[in-house]
Amino acid sequence: MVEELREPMATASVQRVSVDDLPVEEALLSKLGARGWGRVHHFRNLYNRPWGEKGNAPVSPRAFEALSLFITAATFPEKKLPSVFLTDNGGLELVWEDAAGKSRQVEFKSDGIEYYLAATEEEGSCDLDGLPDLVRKLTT
Amino acid sequence: MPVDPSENIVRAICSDKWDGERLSPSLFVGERTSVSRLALFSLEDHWDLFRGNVQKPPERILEMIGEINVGRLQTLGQEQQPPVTLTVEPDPMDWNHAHAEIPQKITRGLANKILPALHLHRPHSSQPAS
Repeated sequence: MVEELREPMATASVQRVSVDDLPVEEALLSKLGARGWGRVHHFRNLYNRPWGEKGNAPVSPRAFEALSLFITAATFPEKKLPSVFLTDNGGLELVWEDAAGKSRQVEFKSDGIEYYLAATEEEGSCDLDGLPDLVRKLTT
Repeated sequence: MPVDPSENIVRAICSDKWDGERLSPSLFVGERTSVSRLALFSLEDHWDLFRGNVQKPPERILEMIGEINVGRLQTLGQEQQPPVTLTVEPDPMDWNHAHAEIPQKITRGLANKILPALHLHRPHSSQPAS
């Protein structure tokens, strides 16, 4: 009985935070704010199966890992916190503005990363190994 | 036959693409973008259609409806470098006979031009919010 109360079926699929994840959680919370942090976990917990009228892909674990690494390493302008969105292919999209107010965007996907800089209209992609270079390119 | 440039189309904007401050460019990035035709159903009918078939509370809430003229959309495509010829093709579905698709691939750069051109309708208002 007690064990059943500890592990109710309704919450059995909710992702729990392990001690190892705490630095990532702290980075997500401090750099995305409560809203962004909540959206990331909302997507991970509630979009873990096909969703939407077209049966869109669930959140990709690789996309979440890449997003976490990027945010941990990145520094964003303090003016306005970045926004987090879920894309139809199960990717996680980060949108913010540079110091001049121009949009910067990164989409973390299961098979790579796409980015966009509105200031120069530069659009590109890289694989997950290119993440450190991308952090330098987009957040400095 | 493609939808006439004089028509206006709408796209549901749910909580996965709107966080209260910014609109996600991925709303239009990619191929086969779903839209719906205002020439067949009114905006009020679309609110009912989208609430009944697109939003799935609690995880996915219908926040707004974005509207754009087909001709305006096509002009934005032509102004892009390199130019993109966009069409809107009727694609009736059981739950929405006004359903249509933009079959061409829309890049992130082009999606960033489309977003500011949208008229955003919020719940309980048929007037554009912006």
